[in-house]
Order: sequence, then structure tokens, then C-alpha cells
Amino acid sequence: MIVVNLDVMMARRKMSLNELSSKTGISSTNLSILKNNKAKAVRFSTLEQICKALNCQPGDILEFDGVLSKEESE
Amino acid sequence: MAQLEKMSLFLKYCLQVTFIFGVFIIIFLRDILTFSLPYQLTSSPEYIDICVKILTPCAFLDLIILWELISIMKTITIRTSFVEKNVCSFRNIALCCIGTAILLSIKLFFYSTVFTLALTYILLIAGLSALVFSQLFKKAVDYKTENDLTI
Repeated sequence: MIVVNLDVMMARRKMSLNELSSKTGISSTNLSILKNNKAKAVRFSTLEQICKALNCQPGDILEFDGVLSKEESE
Repeated sequence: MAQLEKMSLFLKYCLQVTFIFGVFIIIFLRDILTFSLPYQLTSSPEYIDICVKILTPCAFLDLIILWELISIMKTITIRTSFVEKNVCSFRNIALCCIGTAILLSIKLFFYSTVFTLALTYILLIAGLSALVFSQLFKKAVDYKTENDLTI
């Protein structure tokens, strides 16, 4: 399963959800869905905006935990 | 308002009017059959009795079909077409169509008419089509959920 470590990165950069939302143009609701690992997919454009705002690499936000998710295993 | 919403709103009103007519038909079914059927059929009271006994539950099932169609149209007018509720609605429509077809086929054992035979077949096809639509809407709901959760 792909784990989203957005909250870790936000804490490192000392940025709140609302601040990240205003910098990226992505709504707080969507960022919250992403942060809580409820998202089904992420667009590259979204990933770009987040990495630019947090000054990081995609690998800093996304991590594979070695376990296949339910849909993938079916 | 987009064309789809306008059409579904118009259709919703038509279905609501049809529903009200349907309620009246159930209440006055015996009288309607007596006045509308040919004399050769109405001269035998048993025929009217059998028709009323079979057509009354058919009419109730048809009212359920109309009710479900009205609820589907309501969701389309407020732009929330692909919801689980509509999947259930189509499934209910399928069950009611097939149920009506079964009841009408019982009538074929007593009084077989070409009209009843044709209507039974049409309702069977409509029921199977509604089942297909139910599955199609289920897929659409899954795709929409996935799209909504694509950030």
C-alpha cells in the first residue's frame, strides 16, 4: 500500500493544512483526504504543486509499505 | 439548467401525473374493465373477477416502478445521478417488471390474448434491461467514487 507522509513533511516545513492549501490551490478537504490515506489516486500535477510548496521530492511524501492493497491483490 | 436536467424534470412531472392516474385506476379497476372491455368478455363475470385479481397486484407493482423512476429523475435533476440509491431503484424496477410479467403469464392460463402475451414479453425484456442498467450504474458509482478520491 502507498502511504502518504504529507503530515510528516508539513510538520518538518512547519506548514499548516490551510497554508499548504493556499500555496498549492488544492482545497483543504482534498489535502485532508490525501493526508489521511483515503485518496485512490494522485494526479502528477497535484504532486508537482505539493512538492513545490513543501520544497521536497515525491519520495519524501509517498512511501510503499510492502503490503498490496485489497484492490491490487484482487 | 442543462438540457439533461430540463428533460428529467419534465419527465418527472409526467411520471408524477401518471402515478396519480395509476392510483385512480387501482381504485376503479373493476369499473374501468367493465366499461372498456368488449361485451363478449364482460358478459362473463368470472373474467372480470380473474382480471381484477391478477391486474390489481400488477398495478401495485407498476406504481412501485413509477415511484422508483420518479426518485431516479429527482437525483438527475439535482445532478447526483450516480449514487447507490439509483442502483437499488433499477434493481427494484427489474423485480417489479419481472413480477408483473409472471402475474400476466398466470392470466394467460385462463384467458390467452395476443395483447397479454406481447405485454408479458415486453415486461420481461424491460425487467432484464433494468437489471443490466442496475449493474451499469453500479460500475458508474464505482468510477465516480474513484474519480472523486483522485486528488
